[in-house]
Amino acid sequence: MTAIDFDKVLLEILHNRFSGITSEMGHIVHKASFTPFIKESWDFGVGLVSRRGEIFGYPRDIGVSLMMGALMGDVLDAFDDYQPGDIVIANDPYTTGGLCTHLPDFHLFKPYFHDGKLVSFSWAFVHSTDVGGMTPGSVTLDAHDIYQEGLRLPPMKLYRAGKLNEEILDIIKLNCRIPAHNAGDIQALVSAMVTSEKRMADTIGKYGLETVERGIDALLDYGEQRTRAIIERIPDGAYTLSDYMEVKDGGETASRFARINLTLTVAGDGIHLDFTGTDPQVRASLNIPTFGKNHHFINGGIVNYFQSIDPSIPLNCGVLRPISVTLPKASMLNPEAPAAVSARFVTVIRVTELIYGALSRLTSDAGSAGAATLDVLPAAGSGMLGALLLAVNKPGSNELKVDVLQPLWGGSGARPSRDGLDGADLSAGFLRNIPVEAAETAMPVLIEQYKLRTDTPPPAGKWRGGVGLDIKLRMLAPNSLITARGMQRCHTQPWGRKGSEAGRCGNTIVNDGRPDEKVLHRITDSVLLQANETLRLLTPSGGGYGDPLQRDPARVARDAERGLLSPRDAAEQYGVVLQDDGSVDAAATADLRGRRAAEAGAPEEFVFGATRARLDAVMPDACQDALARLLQDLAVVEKQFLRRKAWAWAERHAAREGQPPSVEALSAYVARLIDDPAADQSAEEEALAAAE
Amino acid sequence: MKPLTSHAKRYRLGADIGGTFTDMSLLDEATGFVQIAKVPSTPSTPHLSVVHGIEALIARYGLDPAEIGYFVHGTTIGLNSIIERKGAATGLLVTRGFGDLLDLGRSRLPNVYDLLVEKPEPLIDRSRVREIDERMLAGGRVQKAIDVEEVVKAAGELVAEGVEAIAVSFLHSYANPAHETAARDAIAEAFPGLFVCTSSGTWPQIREYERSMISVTNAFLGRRMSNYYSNLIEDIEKLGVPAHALSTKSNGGIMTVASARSIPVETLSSGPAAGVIGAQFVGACIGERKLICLDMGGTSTEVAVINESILYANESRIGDFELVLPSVDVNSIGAGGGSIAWIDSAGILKVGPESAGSQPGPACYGRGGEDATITDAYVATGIVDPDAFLDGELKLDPALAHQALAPIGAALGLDVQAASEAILRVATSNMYSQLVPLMARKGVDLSEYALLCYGGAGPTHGALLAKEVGITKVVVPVAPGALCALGSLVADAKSDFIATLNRPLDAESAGATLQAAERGIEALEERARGWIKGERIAVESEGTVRSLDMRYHGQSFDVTVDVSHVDLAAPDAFAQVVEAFEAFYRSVYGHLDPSATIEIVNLRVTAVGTTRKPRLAELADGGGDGDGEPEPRTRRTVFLEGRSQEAAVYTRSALRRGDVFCGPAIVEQYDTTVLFPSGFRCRVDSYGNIIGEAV
Repeated sequence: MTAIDFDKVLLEILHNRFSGITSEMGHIVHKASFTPFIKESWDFGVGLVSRRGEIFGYPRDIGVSLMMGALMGDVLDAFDDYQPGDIVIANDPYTTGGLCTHLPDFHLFKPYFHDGKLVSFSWAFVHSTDVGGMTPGSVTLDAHDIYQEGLRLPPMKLYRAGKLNEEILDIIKLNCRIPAHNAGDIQALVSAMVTSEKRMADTIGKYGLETVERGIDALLDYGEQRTRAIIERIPDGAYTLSDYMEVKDGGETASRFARINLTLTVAGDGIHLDFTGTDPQVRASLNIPTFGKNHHFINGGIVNYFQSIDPSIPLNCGVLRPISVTLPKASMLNPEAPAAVSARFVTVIRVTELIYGALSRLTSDAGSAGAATLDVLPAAGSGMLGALLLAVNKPGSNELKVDVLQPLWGGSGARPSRDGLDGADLSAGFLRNIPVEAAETAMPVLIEQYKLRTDTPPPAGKWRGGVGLDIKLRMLAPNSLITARGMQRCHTQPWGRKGSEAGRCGNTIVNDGRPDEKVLHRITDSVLLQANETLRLLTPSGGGYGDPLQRDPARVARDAERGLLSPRDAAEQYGVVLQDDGSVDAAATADLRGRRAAEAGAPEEFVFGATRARLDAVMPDACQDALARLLQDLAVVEKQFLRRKAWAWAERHAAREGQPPSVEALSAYVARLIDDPAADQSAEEEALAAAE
Repeated sequence: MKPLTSHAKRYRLGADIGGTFTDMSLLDEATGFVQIAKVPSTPSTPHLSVVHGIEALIARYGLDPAEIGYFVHGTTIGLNSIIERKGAATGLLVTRGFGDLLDLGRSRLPNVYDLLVEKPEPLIDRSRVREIDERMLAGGRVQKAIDVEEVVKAAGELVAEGVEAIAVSFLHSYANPAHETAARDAIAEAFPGLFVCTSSGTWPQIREYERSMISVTNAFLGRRMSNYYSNLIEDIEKLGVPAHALSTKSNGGIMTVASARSIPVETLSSGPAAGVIGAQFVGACIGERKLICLDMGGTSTEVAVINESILYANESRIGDFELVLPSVDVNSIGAGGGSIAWIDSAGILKVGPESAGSQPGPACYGRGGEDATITDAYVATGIVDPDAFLDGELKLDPALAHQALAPIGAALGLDVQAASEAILRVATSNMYSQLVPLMARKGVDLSEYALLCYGGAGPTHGALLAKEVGITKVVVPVAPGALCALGSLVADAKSDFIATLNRPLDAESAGATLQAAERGIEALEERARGWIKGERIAVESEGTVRSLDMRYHGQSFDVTVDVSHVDLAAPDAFAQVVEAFEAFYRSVYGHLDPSATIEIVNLRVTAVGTTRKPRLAELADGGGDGDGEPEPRTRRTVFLEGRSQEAAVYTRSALRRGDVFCGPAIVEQYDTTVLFPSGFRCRVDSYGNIIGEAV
């Protein structure tokens, strides 16, 4: 562990200074930016960056929480001729070494010179509404390469020695659907960075250049030391956990689901995240461009974990130094160009939850006295973060009107000492919903319902899962096109922990309760509705935590009083007998719980639900891991092709034999196809046989 | 009708009931002389705090209660009821499909990093919310008519469950209140005596959650506040106080207690608001028009901005909630003198955010507190004389301060004095990290402002903070510990009215939009005038301020633009309104969006009845040439800037107009200790304010 060689009072003073300076930057961006979504969702970030590319100052009160570990190292090296007044702009993932993760995020950074010496950089990014591409908003699941996702800017000097390069702005404006907003947003970032320089100069004036430079290094060491101290308290060990992303709806299994596999190892004061076994990059925009590095979209959740344990931990890149990663090449988590990336954030949520799950195996059974404070990690939440948009023609005109009706998320997973959050998720905590009155004023739609799900009881557990939302819309205009992006967990339930129930899937129903009712499960792109047709969206409820029979009966009674649970559910799920006045019948409850406990088996550590069981019955983890090993050195299209073939073969095998193939059989099949991709005609033969 | 208040008797009495102390401010109408008293608050029986305060004034100054002709008070009991969820058992009726309105709120979680975060517990439980099968459309047209029998049935169920108050909040009631009114009337008839209020009747603004929260909070507070007012009136009458009781408001105004009973939600942040009114009054006396108001007490540090006029906000934080009522814009930047110092696992010194609060308080209070706080550091550095606190009424124990600070010093390898000063430096940098971004949010350049410090610790820490953030002028008013109470005595009668318009303001629609705006504003003005008349507070003049909430189409936030100067019926009204919007928008955001359509969202009218302002007493001349250096009462060693220094110590009441002294200097007075470190030159102005300037 690095010892801190710096004044222990001045270090905190500099820490406060940098935190204040970056918070001020954040508020300037928030105020001066144009894109309405920024104001509501805080989808922007700011920071102060060391010469080596580590963020040493980051605001706590404004902006997105996940970008504190933004990777700046490579992109700073894009130029070796920085001079005062330069400002670099970029949005392209594949030329910025992991800083940019999709095209709508414009990143800017500015070198800060003091008396001619490069001291640090300021950095700011903003998610702009649109950067062109095939869909308004520039985020679409269906994109299969980045060229479909909009304008790409490699690192370029937007300002050279204080002089604006108007030509770059002209290119941006010409390629975006709302050019005035983009230009305004970029200006807001510039203002924030310029202000930070005045504050840096003031700080150096007060404490001296040499002290501030040493202070920056010491602050990063300090962050590292604080988190290593936490990791050291976690028992050493390793745990492997996998989960599936929902890619396409319909079609063959291999294109519908993609696996993420994590082996997490805690050793001493370090954590290693090994994603070997994760599926190849997908032909949809769910890939995260990490360049195989210790990337903020992989490790971001750990920062939240550290902050939950100790909120006084500084926000800087030092806290990430104890983490290392293995991200297989050409996988969803380390794609090769030109994989599409725009909807990568739901993948980030799934990765984060896997880390929480695997880590919680080490923190939840730690046993030692201080360990209880380490055990804060939740079961899986809704896994969904998206937006529900309506596009309709203005009455009597051919002009299209598009507006966000509501952002979409579900309930959170239960925590080891608390219920999940109802109608709110930990991964969407910074978002605000939209007043129904405002949405109905802006668009021809009637929002008939915006409330908590009560179609099913909350996912049961000693601590229950947070329930999702139940939203019902009635269209008031012809040709109402509803788009929803970021929907997940409509087939694979959020996992529960330690003998709880798994969470509930989301669902989408057109004309619910009418003869022409249609269950869509999930909107991957859009659905066209006519006036008076309705759309009901149920967002996922998070997984539970612990044995429902151990839930405090008073909490069960309370959920019943609040209308989330029927007395029958209370008895069936929790073994709690409620009397007519809603109070707990203690004797009957003890009796029922005693009988139920006697019948119960050992609790499962992770409760995945039915879809996962079906997938495991075809391709158990051992087969998946073997497949990944066989494919690891192949080219992207070969990986994708062979994975499809392997799944189809395994499905046929499982259907025929009533059990999954052995690792050896699957390996032999795949090896044959690696030698000769055309070797297997069995699918066609079987189809022919069936036809006869 | 004869006004209920007058200035014919000798005194105005102001009372500010805080969480720890109740401050009294007694102003002599003829001389402008102000006397103060500070007594411990009695949270379980809040009205007694005022009684004790009046008794203290009688004991200290021989006050005759019969000579109090004007009485204004502010209280935190409403705020505490919200924080502690100790209000009436309240029910809520909402539109079908929206029973989770309060549970869902606007969704943003209070802490996005904390995996154990909880949503704030709503004031009304889900089990006490009933959905009513009615519906208005966005324009106010009825989609599903209301059935009042269903309403009475739902209310009956709630009453049977023990509900004492009901709020009614239906969708789009700001556009058409008919359903809410029908529901309220039916409930009032069926259950006389039940506290009922509607969202449209309380604050008719678009945004269903925000509007509902106002009526819900109001219903939640109603009974407790009403009981409190009854007790207070009874008690001060018993003491022989003839004045009609007035209450301060979050918007910096005052109203009669009769109004406060029906709309207690308007009192929630009245204490801090009154402090800013006091600061503005002092600023006006001394010609300072740009002030950062710093109110630092034992449990919180708050700032507000005066830039010619007071900065107002259209929403304020009340406990866990944001309430969209107009209020003086007061923001917290820290936990105050009770903030706890500690050493983290890497050996780094931290201050806060934990606070020792008022119970047990700092270690030196001797109430069982064992943690080292900022206040303990004041004592150990020698800034605060432990025997001089509240004129010795509350003795501080320096030995306990030392005991608490010793482990901090040991961890840092510093002696107790040096460690204490380190705590003050870190605390100051904490404030920097909050104040600088906050001012960016308000568009304020700190270097143009003077810092006016009040509260128990404001004058102690103000100059240290000023140095850190680059403010060069620091003002310490005569009675910094009772500025809120003084503010209440000079506040105007004031009330806000709103209506939602929601129309575009482009060339095509401007005529119709402005016509509708004019009609709407006239209706609000009529209510505003009626309000002033109804209050019967003696005022010298009456007026209204008109403003419009405007935004660019597509934005989810709006700005409030004063259009009092515009005749909305005039032919050039369109151009003038756009000009006013653009000027204001540019001043806040630094740019315009010429590609976007402007919308008028809400119409606002503020009724203002200007009360008679007292003239503050001027100090006796020092007798010298006007810039003499007074003889210090004593000198003592303080530890500042890393070394021991000799500071002159003055007694506030002995200072005379024109006195000049330089830091390091300490001024001791009943309600606070004033510190100016080296680098400040201070003078005493004709009212007795100390004005320190960096040299």
